[in-house]
Amino acid sequence: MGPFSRRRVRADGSDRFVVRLDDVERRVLADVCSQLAGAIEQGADGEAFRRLKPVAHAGDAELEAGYRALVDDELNTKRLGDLRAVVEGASSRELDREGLERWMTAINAVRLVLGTLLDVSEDDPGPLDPNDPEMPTLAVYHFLGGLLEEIVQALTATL
Amino acid sequence: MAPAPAEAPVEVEEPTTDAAPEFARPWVVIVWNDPINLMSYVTFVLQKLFGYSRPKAESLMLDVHEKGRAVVSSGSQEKAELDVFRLHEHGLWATMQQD
Repeated sequence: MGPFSRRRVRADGSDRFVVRLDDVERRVLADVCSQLAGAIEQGADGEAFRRLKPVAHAGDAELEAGYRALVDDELNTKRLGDLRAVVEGASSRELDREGLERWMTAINAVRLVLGTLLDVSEDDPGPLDPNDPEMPTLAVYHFLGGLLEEIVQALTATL
Repeated sequence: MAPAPAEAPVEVEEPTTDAAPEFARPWVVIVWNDPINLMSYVTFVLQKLFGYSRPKAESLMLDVHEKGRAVVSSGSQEKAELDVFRLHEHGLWATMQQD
């Protein structure tokens, strides 16, 4: 690792990934994942959570009901497992591929909820406005986006 | 993408000539554009789940991004439902419909 490397996630072989985050970043990550896990456990199903359970059969209520009955528990179980893996392993300096993919899907799930809450668009939002009451949430959203990008790059480089 | 052959219903022992046309019509899995999922993430998920090459996964991702949607897989209802489920596990906005 050279002095110019500022990457927070780096592949070291195909099944070993080095994660360099500072303590504040790790705390934020554990906190948002813990919050989402708690919300899912309490059965939160408001508008902000709709992206976690997308409709499969848009034009057929009967097929959709069958799909939901088949997958909803499994979707929740997998998601909670991923979120807990981040919460419990937030201090990890190294992850294997499976562990990093859990971080990837957990972080993406948090982004889906925050992005829906913030009603983000594809347009570049420009610099953060410190007077915007949503600024703290936006900052977390962008932090998670940057981290996710690095995780995906590391996983892609070793496919 | 070539559609996979439709699966025959369990009770049918051998192929018949008068099979209902629904069984021959494949289901397609569609990924829709959304403003949250990262382009690199969508590409990676398509590579991981379907074993697509990077150029193919990137091309599908760009279709999603620019045209609003792309068919990412097709086949029997069961296969399509499993593909949709795996895409939903990864937070992609996927639906399925009969072609």
